[in-house]
Amino acid sequence: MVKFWVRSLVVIFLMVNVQGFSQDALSIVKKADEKMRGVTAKMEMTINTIRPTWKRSMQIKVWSKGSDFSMVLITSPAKDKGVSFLKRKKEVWNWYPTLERVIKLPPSMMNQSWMGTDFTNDDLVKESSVIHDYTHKLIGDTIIGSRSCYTIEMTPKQGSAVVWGKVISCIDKKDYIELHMRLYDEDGVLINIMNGYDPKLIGGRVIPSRFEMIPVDKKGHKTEMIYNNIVFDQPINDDFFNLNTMKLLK
Amino acid sequence: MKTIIFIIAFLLNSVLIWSQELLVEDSLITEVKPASIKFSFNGYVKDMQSLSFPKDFKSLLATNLIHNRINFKWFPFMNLTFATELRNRLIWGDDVRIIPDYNQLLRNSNELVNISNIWFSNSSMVMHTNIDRLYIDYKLSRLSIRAGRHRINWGISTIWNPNDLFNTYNFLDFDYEERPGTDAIKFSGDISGFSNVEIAYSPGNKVNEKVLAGKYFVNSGGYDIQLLFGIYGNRFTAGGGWAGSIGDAGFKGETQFFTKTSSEKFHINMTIESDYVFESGWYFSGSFLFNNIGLDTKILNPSQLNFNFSPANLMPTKWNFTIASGKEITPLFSANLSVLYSPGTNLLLFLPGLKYSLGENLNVDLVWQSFYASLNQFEALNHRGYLRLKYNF
Repeated sequence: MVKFWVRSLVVIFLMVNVQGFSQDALSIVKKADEKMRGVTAKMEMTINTIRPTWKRSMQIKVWSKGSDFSMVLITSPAKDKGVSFLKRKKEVWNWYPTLERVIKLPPSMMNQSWMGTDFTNDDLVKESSVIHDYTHKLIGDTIIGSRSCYTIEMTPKQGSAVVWGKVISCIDKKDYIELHMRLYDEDGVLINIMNGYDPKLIGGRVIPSRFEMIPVDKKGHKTEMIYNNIVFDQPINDDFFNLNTMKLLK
Repeated sequence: MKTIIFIIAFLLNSVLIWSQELLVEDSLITEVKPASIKFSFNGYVKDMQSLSFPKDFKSLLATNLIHNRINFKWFPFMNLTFATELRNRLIWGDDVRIIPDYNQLLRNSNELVNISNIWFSNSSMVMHTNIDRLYIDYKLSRLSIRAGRHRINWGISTIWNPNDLFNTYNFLDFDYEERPGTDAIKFSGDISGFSNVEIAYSPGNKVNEKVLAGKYFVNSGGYDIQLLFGIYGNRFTAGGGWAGSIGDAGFKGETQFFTKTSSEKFHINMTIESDYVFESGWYFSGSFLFNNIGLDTKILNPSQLNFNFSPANLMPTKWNFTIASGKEITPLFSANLSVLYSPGTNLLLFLPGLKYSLGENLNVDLVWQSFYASLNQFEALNHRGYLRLKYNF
């Protein structure tokens, strides 16, 4: 069960940190990245895990500041309601209200792969990995829905410890939102597709209100992330992310 | 005189700084705990079929338990909480018929006040309600007080908790994860978000020891560290615990000492554990518990093994090793296995389990417990199997 939550955490960190990939390709990726992240963010999200024969839904509240500080509260389903997580740099704690107990998680718990992909939490929380670890090349234009987009190819810099062999990202020219991403392994095989849908004004910014992550070789599998509410850049002190706050979350 | 003025000025200044910090903290509390939330209500219903076999599987005792838990909290003001949690249990079958004074066993022996009731009982069925949480909690900035029946959980490691002085996590009793409450009063003071002091007192009763103890907690250098001092019954006790990591592996431990008395020996419980999650998703943990007054030689009779756990009796045996592993096979289905071994007695516990999610709030668990030890030869003592369906609301 802990692993399931950690996976969900990974999703959250993904959403907080890796949304954007790149006039020049790098500055496009930077704009898209900054747009989704904000200095701080407070979000209410729904995560749907969809499989050919079943579906599970989870609702969470997230408070985050950069990639070092975040807190997550599960608000649904009932069996996990009230469970919360605190991440401060490398340390992660888990609060179980039914046990009245804080459990510290081993760092290796955060290296877990997510939904059978090669995403690990470490890859995802590295701040702006998409900016620092890749070289960016504008390779064309495309239209997604009615939106005109830049197509950018990202290849890992030599020596950077990233999982993907290549990433193709499509970023809307007007609002700098990432609407499509294709993730390839080192052999150039397409592994995952991520799509952003329904751009809306949320938290003062136009961003996709729904994302889907689809593993290419698993028919009927996908993970859907829906933003119900976001407040960007409200000042949050580092000290807010502490063990006492984690227990108070409602 | 100058010194006194200096001290007063210093104290005033400190209080001013403190209260300014508090203003910030209070506004953040409103942020995470909306004042509009006045109540919380949740719980579950479980049905558990348990099967108990002797060593040779030649007979069977079958018992069924329908178990409902209701948790209710009321937040009349932002910093005030009233909590009531109760469990209703309807039990029928062989355990009720065969175990002498079964109804007496339903009451938690560590409760000072009896707020439980047996609604009805006959030779093979009993219905029992117990209020295992009933407390008031008031938080005033950095200070808080909680009084009534509640859980004081000072454990830091996963399997054994020598520091858990007011209660004991029983790793065999998987069906009561909330654990019984303790009738106690607890004061907490936050020095910062990552260091605090707690002092708690439980008057005890004729079965249980009275406990007065304090705990200092701090997070520093990637480690959670705690130190405990107190009086447990008529003995002094001191201990400490930590939770951190070595590389990517978790590294935790707890130690607790009890001074000797005219009738009891000096006592120490010490546990160390480490856990790691491999990229394949396999979780492994290894734990060790040393209990200086435990058994470390062959036993003559299984009744020598006292599994009535208490803060001073975490295991009946002296040296104890556990390996636990688990794997989420699919997001809905997970499996785990724990094996415990104690040299000398050759006590061996084999504890596999399976869990499947049937729905958003509906789970089914299959749990097995086999006990072995050396009597005349290494042999099984007994086996238990449990099938549990749980619905949360």
